[in-house]
Amino acid sequence: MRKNPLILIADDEPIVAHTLVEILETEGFEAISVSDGAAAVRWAREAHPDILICDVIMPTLNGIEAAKQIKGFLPQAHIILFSGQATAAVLVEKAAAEGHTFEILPKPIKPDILLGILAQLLRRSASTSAS
Amino acid sequence: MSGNDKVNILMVDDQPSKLLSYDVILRELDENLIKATSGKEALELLLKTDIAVVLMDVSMPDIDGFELAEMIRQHPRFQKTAIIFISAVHLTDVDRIKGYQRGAVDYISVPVLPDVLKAKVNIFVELHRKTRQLETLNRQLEQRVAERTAALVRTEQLAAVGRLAATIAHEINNPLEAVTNLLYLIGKDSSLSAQSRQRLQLADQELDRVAHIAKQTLGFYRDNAAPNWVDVSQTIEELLTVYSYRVRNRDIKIEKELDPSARLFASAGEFRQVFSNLFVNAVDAVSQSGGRIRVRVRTARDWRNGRRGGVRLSVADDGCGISPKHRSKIFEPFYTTKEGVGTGLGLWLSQTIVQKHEGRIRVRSQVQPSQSGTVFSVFWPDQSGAHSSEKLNEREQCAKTP
Repeated sequence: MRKNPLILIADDEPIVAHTLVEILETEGFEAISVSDGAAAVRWAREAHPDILICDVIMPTLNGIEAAKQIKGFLPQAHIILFSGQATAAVLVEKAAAEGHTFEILPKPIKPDILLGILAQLLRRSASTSAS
Repeated sequence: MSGNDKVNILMVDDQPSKLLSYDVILRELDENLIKATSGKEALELLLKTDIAVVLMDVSMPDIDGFELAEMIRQHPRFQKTAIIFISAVHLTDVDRIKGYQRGAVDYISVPVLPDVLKAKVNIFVELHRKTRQLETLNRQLEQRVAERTAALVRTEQLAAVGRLAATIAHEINNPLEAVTNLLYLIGKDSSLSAQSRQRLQLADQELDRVAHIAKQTLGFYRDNAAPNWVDVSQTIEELLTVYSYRVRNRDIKIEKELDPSARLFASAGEFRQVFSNLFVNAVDAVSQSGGRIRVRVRTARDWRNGRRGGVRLSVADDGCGISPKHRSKIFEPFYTTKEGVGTGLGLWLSQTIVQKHEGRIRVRSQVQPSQSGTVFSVFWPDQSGAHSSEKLNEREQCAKTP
C-alpha cells in the first residue's frame, strides 16, 4: 500500500491543474494531473488513485463520462467534480437520473475548503476499510 | 363577423314603388334591406353602414346611377362594394362598358325577373360574407403569428442570456480558480515579509469579492452566501442614502415607517436587491409628478394564512400606476414598461429571490387620474429556526393547509 494518498487531477486549464498538484504535494499528498477526460481514464487505470478531482467541461471526454467509466473499474475511488459553469450542474443532474450520483463543487474553490473535503473523504474510506 | 350575421343590401331608386317591389323580391334572402330614394341619401347610408351590395337605378333625378357609382368607387372603403344597375331603358353595349368602367359589377334590365334579381344579389351577398370571414381569419392568424413570435423572441432572449452567462462564467471562474490557487501557494512561502503577507491577505479578500459577484450575477439562482441576521430598517436606511441624490433631484418626498426591531435571517445581498428593485421602480413611476414614496417595514404575519411570522415590507408610490394589461406580466423576465431604461429583469429577480425564501410578493395598482399609484408588498418569513424541530412542525402544519 502507498504511503500517501494519490490524487488524480483532470483539468484542461494547465495553471489550475499544476497549482492544484503543487498545493496537494505541499500538504503531503501524491498528485498527478492530466488535461482531458480520456487521459484521466487511462491514468486512473494505471495508477489507481484514491481520489479523482475532475473538471466537467473538458476536451475528448467530459468529466462526468470519465467519472462514470472510472467508477466502473475503480469503485473504491472518491470522485469530486468541479466546474466554473452553472450548466455543468445540469449534466450532473442528468447523470443522477441515470443512476450515477456525483457531488459537484463550484469553481473557484478555496484550497482550505478543498483540503477539508479531501481529509473527510479519506477518513471515511479509512473507517470503511477498518470495519 | 361570424358567417351567420345578416349583411346589408342597399336599394337606391327615386320611385318608392320600385323600392317596394325589390323589397318584396329580396325579402326571401333574409338579409337587412336598406332603402334610399336619392343618390345623396345612398351616400350618407354608405358612410354609416357596411354595405354588401348596392342595387341602383341608372336614371335618377339629382345624381344618376353612373355618377353615384363613380363617387362610391372613389371612396377607398367602397372599392370592392358590389354595385348592380337596374335600367328601365335599353342599354347599348357602349352604355354597359361605361357602367362597368364606373364600377358596376352587373346589370339587370327591366322587366325585372324576381328569380334572376334574387340570384344575382345573393351571389354578391355570399361573396361579401366570405370576404369578411377571410378578413377575420386573416386578422386572427396575424395576431396568432405575432403572439407566437413574441413568445419565441422572449424564449430566445432568455436562452441567449443563459448562453452568455455560461460562457462568461466559464471564462471568469477558471482564471479565478487559478489565481486562488496561486495566492494560496504564495502564502505558503515562509520567506514572505510581513507587509507582503498583509497585502496577500488583502488580495485574497478582493478575490473573494470578485468570486462572489461572479457567482451572484452569473448564477444568481444559486447564491451560496451564508444567510445571516439582517437589520431590515438599517439596511433600508443605508440604501435610501445611496439613492438620496436621485430622490432629491426629482423632488420626491419619502415617508418612512421603519420598525427598528424588524430582522430577517437572509442573505443581505439578496434583500438589498429586492428592496432596490422595488424602490427604483417607485422612483421611476413618480419621477414626472414630483410625488411621494412611502416605505414601510414592520414585523407581521403571512397575509395569506396568518400562520407564519416574518417581516412585511411595502413600497408605495403615487405615480402613474400600472395598467391591468401590464400588471399580469410585470413578473415575467424581460418584460419592461421602461422602454430603453429597464432590463425587464428587476421584478422577476425579486420574485425569484422572495420565493426562494418561501415568501410572497404582490402588487396593487390604480390608474385613475386622481388616485393613481402602486403598492408592492413583500412578506419575508422568519426562517432563522427553519431547522429546529419546533419550527419544522409549524412548517409542516402550514404545508398541510391548502
